[in-house]
Amino acid sequence: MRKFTTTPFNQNENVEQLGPKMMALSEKHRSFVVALFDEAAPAHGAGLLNFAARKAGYLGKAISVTASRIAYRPDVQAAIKEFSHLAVRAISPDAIRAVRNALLDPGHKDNIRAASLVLERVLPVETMHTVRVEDHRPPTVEATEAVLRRIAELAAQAGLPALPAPIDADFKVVDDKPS
Amino acid sequence: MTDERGYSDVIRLAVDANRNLPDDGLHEFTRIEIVLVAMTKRLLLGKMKAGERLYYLRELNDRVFDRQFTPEMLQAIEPACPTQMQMFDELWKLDPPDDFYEIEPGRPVRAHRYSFGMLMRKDVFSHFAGLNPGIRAAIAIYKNGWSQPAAEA
Repeated sequence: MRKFTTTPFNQNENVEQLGPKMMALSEKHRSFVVALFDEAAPAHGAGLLNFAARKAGYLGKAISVTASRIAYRPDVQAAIKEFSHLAVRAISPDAIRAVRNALLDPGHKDNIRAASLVLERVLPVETMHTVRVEDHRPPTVEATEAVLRRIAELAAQAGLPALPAPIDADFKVVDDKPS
Repeated sequence: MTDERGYSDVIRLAVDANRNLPDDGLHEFTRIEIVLVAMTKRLLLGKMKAGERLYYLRELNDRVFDRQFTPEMLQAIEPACPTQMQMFDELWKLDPPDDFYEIEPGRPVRAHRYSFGMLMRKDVFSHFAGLNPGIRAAIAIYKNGWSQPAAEA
């Protein structure tokens, strides 16, 4: 029995939901990718690729070869990856419903798991850390305008005459003419 | 009896030495503060990085405390002259090289117990006051402040 059900995706009706990788495929290849996620599709290794190829309209005795060739094309692989996000989003309401059912049924075997799953998200466990940072480095304040202004203020308060410029701001004119 | 920093002994020695000397009206700790301000002002006249200068200026302005050390006293004190700096050097030599205490766990600082003990003495302090007219002016401000009623909080 399948756990989740999805509404069959009709690529002709829902074309605006498809991404660029899917839109870059031919119509048959696109149908192949959509069929991989079909509700009625068998599991991988049990004829999934053949099923998708038949759904896409491929016929003949060598259908498994054709299906395999299509499935491992780089553009089809990229499209499968892109389309899987859409399929997961379509499944999520069913996932929520399944958790809700498990939560509301005390006799459900996953009742406690569902409850803790919900609680972990609604009331996450909080931990508190006290981090004490000690910095014993010597002062290395940059000579910004604000610092220089504060220095001038404090020097005036202390009754100090004009102080020499801080050495951060020292410069020397270098004569670059050849001697 | 010795406190954790070991200052009690040097304070007692200074107080004993001051007992028979003329009263200058200063508290023992105020003498240290005044002399250290003069020395710090001298250091600030030299070249240093902006961060260091800001640090020393903050330390200097943090000396101001109620009537014990007023902003006017801070302004009046002049930077120590080279002779006073030499006197400091001699005083610092009294401190043993392992004379540290932990200002907080894992952060040792020089204690200067013996040199500070000497600075508390009136006879030693009077040499600095004699060389620095700013110190004499600060003493006058200090005495005048204590003769006035305390300002309303």
